[in-house]
Amino acid sequence: MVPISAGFVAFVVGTAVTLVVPVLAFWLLYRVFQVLFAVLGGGARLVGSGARRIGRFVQGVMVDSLHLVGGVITAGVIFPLSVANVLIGRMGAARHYGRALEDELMSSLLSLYRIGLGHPARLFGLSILTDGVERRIPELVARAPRTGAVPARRAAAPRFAGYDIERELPAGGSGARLFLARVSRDKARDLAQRGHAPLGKVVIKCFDRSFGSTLPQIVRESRALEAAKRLGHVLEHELDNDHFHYVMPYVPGEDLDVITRRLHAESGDGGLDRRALAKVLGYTSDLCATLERFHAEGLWHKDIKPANLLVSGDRLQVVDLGLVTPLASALTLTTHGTEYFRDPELVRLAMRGVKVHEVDGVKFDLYSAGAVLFSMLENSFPAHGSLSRLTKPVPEALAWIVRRAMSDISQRYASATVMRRDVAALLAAQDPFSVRPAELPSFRAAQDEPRAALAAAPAVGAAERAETYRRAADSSARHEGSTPPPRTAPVSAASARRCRRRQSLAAYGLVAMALCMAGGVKSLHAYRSEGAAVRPYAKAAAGHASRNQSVSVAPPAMTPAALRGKVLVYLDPGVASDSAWRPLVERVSESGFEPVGLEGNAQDIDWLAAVGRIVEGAPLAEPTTVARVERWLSLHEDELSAVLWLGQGSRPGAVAAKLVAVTDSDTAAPLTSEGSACSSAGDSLGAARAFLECDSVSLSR
Amino acid sequence: MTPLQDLTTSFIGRLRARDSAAWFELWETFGPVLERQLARWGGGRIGRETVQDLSQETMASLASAIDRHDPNRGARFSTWLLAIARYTLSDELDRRTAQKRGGGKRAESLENLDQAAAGPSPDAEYELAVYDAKVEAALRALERGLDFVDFETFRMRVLEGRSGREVAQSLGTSEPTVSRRLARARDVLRGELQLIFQRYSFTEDELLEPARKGLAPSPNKGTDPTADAAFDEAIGDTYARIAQRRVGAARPPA
Repeated sequence: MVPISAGFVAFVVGTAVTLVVPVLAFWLLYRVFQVLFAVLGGGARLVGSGARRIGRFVQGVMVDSLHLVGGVITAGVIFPLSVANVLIGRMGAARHYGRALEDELMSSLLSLYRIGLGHPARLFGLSILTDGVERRIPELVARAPRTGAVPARRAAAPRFAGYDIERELPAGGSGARLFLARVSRDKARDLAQRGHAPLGKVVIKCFDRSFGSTLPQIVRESRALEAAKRLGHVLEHELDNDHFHYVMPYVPGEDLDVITRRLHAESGDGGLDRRALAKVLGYTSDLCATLERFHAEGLWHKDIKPANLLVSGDRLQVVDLGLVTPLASALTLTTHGTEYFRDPELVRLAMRGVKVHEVDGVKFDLYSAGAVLFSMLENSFPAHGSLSRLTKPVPEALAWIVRRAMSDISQRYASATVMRRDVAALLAAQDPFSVRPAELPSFRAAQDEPRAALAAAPAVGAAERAETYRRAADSSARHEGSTPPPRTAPVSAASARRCRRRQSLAAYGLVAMALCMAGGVKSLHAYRSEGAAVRPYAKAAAGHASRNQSVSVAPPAMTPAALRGKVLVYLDPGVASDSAWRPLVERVSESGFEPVGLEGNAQDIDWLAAVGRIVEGAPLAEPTTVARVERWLSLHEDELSAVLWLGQGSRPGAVAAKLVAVTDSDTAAPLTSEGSACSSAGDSLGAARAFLECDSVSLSR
Repeated sequence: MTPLQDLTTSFIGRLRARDSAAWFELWETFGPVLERQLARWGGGRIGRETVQDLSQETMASLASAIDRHDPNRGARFSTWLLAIARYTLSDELDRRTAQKRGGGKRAESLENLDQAAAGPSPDAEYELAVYDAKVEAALRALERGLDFVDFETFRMRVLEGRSGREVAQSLGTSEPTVSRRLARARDVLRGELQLIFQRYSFTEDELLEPARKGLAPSPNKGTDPTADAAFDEAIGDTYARIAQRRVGAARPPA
C-alpha cells in the first residue's frame, strides 16, 4: 500500500480549489449580472411603457382640446342661425340648424369628457372604467327604441287577446315590435290544456304593416313557426293579411355578452378561473343541446351569437327566432346573420345563389357555436374567423373544440352531438387543463384522418338527419307551399368530386401499400379468381338471398388458415356515410373495436366480435389514411391475415368487396390479382362475411 | 405577358366579369385593411359603422373603376386600392359638408384614380397591413387545403410557437409525425403564398416582397432545416402582427 503524503493531499485539494473556485465565481457573477439585467430590462420596459402612455395622453388631450374649441366656435356660429330661423318662421331650417347644433354640442361634450376623465383614466391604466362609459353607454343608447325616426312605430301597442301588455321591449333589427305581457287566467288555463308549463309572462313579437313591417319580414319570421312550436319556443301565433304575431315564453335573464363580461371581471386579467370556466363549459353544453334539438326538427337557427343567448339561472337559452330557416328549404340562401359569428363561407355560397337545402346549415350553426365559445373565453369576438388567436389561458382541449367548430366547413364537427360530447368530456374532467386534445371523444377520428371523422360524422346524426329532413320537408311544404327537393350533398358538388377522387387514390394507395408490405408481412400470397372455389360463396349467397341479397361474382379463394389473424377492413366513405350503417358505431365502440369508420348492422358486429378479425376501418381516402393503415400494418403485421376493401359497386346502389391482400405463413409469393364480390345494396359487411366465413377455399398461386 | 401579369390580369378579368367569388375574395382579404385605413384617416371622428359603410362603398367604387384599370401603368396594387379608398372617403366628406352647409362640391372623377395611385406612396403601416392581409389569405387557403390535424399541428408549432414535443404530446403522436405534418403544411403554404402574391401584385417589387421578408420559396425545401426554421419564424411573426392588429377593436354590433 502506497502511503499518501500530506503534501500530495494538499496538492490535490489545492488543485481542486483552484479549478472550482473560479468556476463558482464566474457562475455567481453570471447569475448576478443576469438578475441585474433582468431588473434593468424590466425597469427600462416600465419606463418605456410609461413614456408611451404619457405621450398618448398628451397627444389625446391636445387633439380633444382642439376639437372642443372648434366645436364651441362652430356651435357659437350655428346658434344665432337657428334662433334667426325660428324668429323668421322657417321652422324646417331651424330644425336643421338645431340638429347641427346638437351634433356640435355632443361632440364638444364628448371631447370634454375625454379630456377630463377618459385620457387621465387611460394614463393610469383604468381603461376598463372608460370602456364601460365610452362603449356600453353608446351601445345602450343605440339599442334604445327609436323615437322620431319612424313615427308610425310610436303607434299605440296593439291588443292581443288573453295577454295584458306590461311594456314594450327594445326591438331588434327584424322590423318587429316586442312586448312583455302577462298571461290572463283564461289564457293560462288554455295554454296548460295544450301542454305548456304554467307561465306568468310572455314575450310577444309583433309585425304589422301599419308600423313599418314588410311582407318579406313577415314571411321570413313565419317560416319556421310550426317547428318552433314543437320545440316549445313558440306558444302560439296568428297571421292575417297585415298583421302577424307570435308568443314566446318570457326568459328572465341577461344576455351572454353581459355574463361574459362579468365572468371576466370576476376572474381578473389572467383569463377565466376554474369556476367561470365550468360555467362557460356548461353554457356551451346547453347551446349544443339546444342546437341538437333545432337540427333534429329540421331547423337552422342561423343567428347564434351572444346577444341571442340568455342566461337564466345557470342555464343558457336560445332566443330570437327571426332567422330560423328549415334546413330543407327550397329558398335561395341569404347572407343574413351577424358578422364574426357567421361563417364567411355562408356569404360565399349565398353570393353564388345556392339554395338553402344545398348547403349544410347545421355546420353553420356549429361555426357560430364555436365563435360564441371563443367570445366567452376571450371576452372578445373572433375578428379573424378560424385564424383568431386565443390569447387568454384556456385548456388546450377547449381551444381545440373552438378550432374544430370554426374550422373549414369540410372539417368541422358534423353535428352538435359530437361537439357536445367533447364539451362533456371536459366538464367531466377534474382538471380541464390536464385534458389533451388527443383525449377528446372526437379526436380518435380526427387524429389520423380528419376527413374520415367527417365522413363518418354525418353518419353520427344520419338516422336523426333522415328524420330531420323528412320533418323539415313536411314543415317546408306547409309553410312554403312547395315540396322541397331531396337534400343534396352538403356544400358543393366539387367537394363531393374531390372526395371521390380521394377515395380512388386511397384505394390505389392501399393496394400499392399492401403489396409493398410483402417483404414485411410474413408473406402476401397471390391468388387467382379462376382458382376460387364457389361453394362457400354459394353458401354466403344463400344467406344473402334469404335477405333478398345475392352474391353476383364469386370472390377469390383462400385457405381458412390464412384468416386466423386480424383482417384490416378498408371501408369506403360512400358506404361509411350510408345512414343505414350509422347506428352501430356505438356498438362497435362497446365491442372494443376501433370505432373509426367500422360500421355495420348488429348481426355483423356481433359476428365480427365473435371471430375477432376485423379490427379497423379506414373510411376516407386521404393520404393520411394510407399512412394510418401503414402504421396499423406495422403494428399488426404478425397477426395480419387479410386486407379487405368494401365500397361502392359498379351498379348504382351495389356494394362491392375486394380482397386486396391476404397473408399466408407457409408461402412467400406476392399477390398478383384481386378477387371481388358484389352484393346488393347496403350490406357490405355481408359481403365481407362471404369472404371470411368460407371454410374450404383454395388459395391459388 | 409575364406570368405575374397573366395571373393578375386573369383575376382582374374575373372582377370585371363581376364574378361574385372574386369580389368576395377581394373583400374578405382587403376589407379589414381598408376599414382600418379609413378609421385612421377618420382620426376617431368617424364611427365604426360609417367606416364599414365606407369600406363597402370603396368596393363599389372599385367595381366602377375596375373597367378602366390598366395594370401596366406601374402602380402598386396596394396604392391602387388605397387611392380608391381615399376617393371614397373624400367623396363622403364632401357629401357631408354639402349636407351640412347646404352647398355642394363635385366629386373627384374616377378616371383620375390610376393617376392618383401613382402619387406619393402610402405609409409603411398601410403597406405592412396589405402584406399581412396577403399572408393571412394564404393561411386561410392553407387551412382549407390541409387536413384538420395537419393544420392544427402547424398552428400549434408555427403560429403559437409551441415546441415539437409539446405538440406531439397534445396530439398523442410522435415528434417525427409532427415534423412530417409540418413539412406538408410548409409545402402547401409556400404554394399558396406564391399564388396569392402573384394574384395581388401589380409590380415585381410587390411580388418579391415575401422573399424580402423571409418567405422565399426555398430551393432546398424540406432538406434545409435552417431555411424551414426561418420560414416558420417569418410566418409566426406575421401572424402575431395580424392577431395583434385587431386586439382592442370595437365589438361587433349586437
